[in-house]
Amino acid sequence: MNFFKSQKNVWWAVTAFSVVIFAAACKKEYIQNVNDICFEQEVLPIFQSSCTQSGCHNSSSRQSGYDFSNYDGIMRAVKPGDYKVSEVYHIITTPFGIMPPSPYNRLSDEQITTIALWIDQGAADSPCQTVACDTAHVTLSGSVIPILDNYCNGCHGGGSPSAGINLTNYTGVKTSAANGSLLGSVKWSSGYSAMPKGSNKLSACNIAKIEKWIALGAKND
Amino acid sequence: MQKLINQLFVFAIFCLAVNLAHAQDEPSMLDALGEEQTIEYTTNAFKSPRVINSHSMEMLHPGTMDFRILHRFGDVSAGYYQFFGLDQASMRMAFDFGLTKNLMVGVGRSTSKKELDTFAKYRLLWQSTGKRNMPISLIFVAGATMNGLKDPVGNAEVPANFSRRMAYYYEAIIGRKFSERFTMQLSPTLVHRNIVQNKLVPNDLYALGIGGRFKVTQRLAIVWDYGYVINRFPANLSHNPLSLGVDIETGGHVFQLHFSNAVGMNERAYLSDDNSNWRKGEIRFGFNLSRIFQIKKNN
Repeated sequence: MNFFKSQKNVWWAVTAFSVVIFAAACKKEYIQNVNDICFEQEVLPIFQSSCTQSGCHNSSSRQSGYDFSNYDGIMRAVKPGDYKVSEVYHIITTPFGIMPPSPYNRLSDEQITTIALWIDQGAADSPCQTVACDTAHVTLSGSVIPILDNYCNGCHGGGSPSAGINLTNYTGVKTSAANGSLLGSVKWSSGYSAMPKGSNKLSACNIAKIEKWIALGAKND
Repeated sequence: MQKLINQLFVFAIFCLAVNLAHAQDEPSMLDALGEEQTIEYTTNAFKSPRVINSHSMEMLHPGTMDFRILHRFGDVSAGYYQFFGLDQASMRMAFDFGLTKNLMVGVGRSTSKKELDTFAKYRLLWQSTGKRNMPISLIFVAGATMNGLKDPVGNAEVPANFSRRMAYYYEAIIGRKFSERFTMQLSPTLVHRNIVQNKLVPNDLYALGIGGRFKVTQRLAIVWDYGYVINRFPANLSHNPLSLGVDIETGGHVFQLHFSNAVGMNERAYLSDDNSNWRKGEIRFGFNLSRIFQIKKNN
């Protein structure tokens, strides 16, 4: 290790190594979304599930003057193309006075990202691409939980889940699946409380996925 | 444009520091009067070259190697079944070398993301009294991390290559040992990631670290370490890494025991990855073990 005896050589070695390592330091890339965010299927359900509970931002209560149950109402708090100045983005990320308020949970980072990307892409009331309904591979984590997160867990999650029904974990979902209330509610069958409350019925594809998962034994997969 | 500003900013700090250093070398009026004085450099501002996660204003002595083993466990709130998180360990192993009085380099490997990291740390100013009175230490760190996963990007349409695995960090540490017991330091940090998850996630993250130490006894000190990330997306204050711990010195070892919400153990990981939430009680126990070896005779 005679080479490192001289302080000058040490400097040369460190510099040369740095040049090699830092040669790639100027890249700026991001993973591009192939499809635009779809308002009807991806954004609106988040608002309907997390903001339009009774007494909140629905068409009858209009808390603080905001009705988040439809496109026009949401656009009052959105500046298309600029999520940073949009009131909606501010209120779901601010450390003080965050929405949804306690005891409801903060929206997940994925949901916040979806809303911000949609605003960044112009916040259009975009028609959605029809995707073929894939009920061949239905799992709890891959198919059912994403539906519940977007359509149900604004109410049926957090610190005090509505009607005591918590759909954020397997035990809760399993219980509702076993007594038939999960499927009955989303199919708007008579004898069950029609869900999601105050908004459209789930798409036929989503209902089919839930039905298939229950038929396969409601496994924790 | 943004990049140009970043580079200018780093360059400006560097120039300022070098100028300051030179300015301080000039003899003062006192010397002209013939008073014999020596420079008293401030040592032991921290027990180790790391506060907890972040670099401290301490340097290794030339010719020494610091072998570091870091462990971070799972969430304490996981309860007895997971033995309060101790069943899940993530670790980083590191070798840091003191090359000269003011230069040290190091390499490390984390289990999280199989990440390799390396850094060089250079001291521009050294807090001192006596002949040369310098109120602060100023240290510059530049480092790189390399994601070692087979599929680092996690997207089938984006093939992995060298640059997509890399991230970089640049950090200036401004620290002062205020008294025998109390040390504080500020560390403005820039983390650059070559690739990020989507358009809205910034490639360049700016952060301000605040670290400190309060020495209780000769062998025991309380340390804290916080990183405020300014432009995280989505903004989330509770993801900022906050660590509280104790340093225990036993002979050649330093044990750093702490509680933290930070998961990662290098600058990219603990500043940019999702950390857990203090307010929900999602804290984790961790320890750093540091053993210093003399590997070269000092002449």
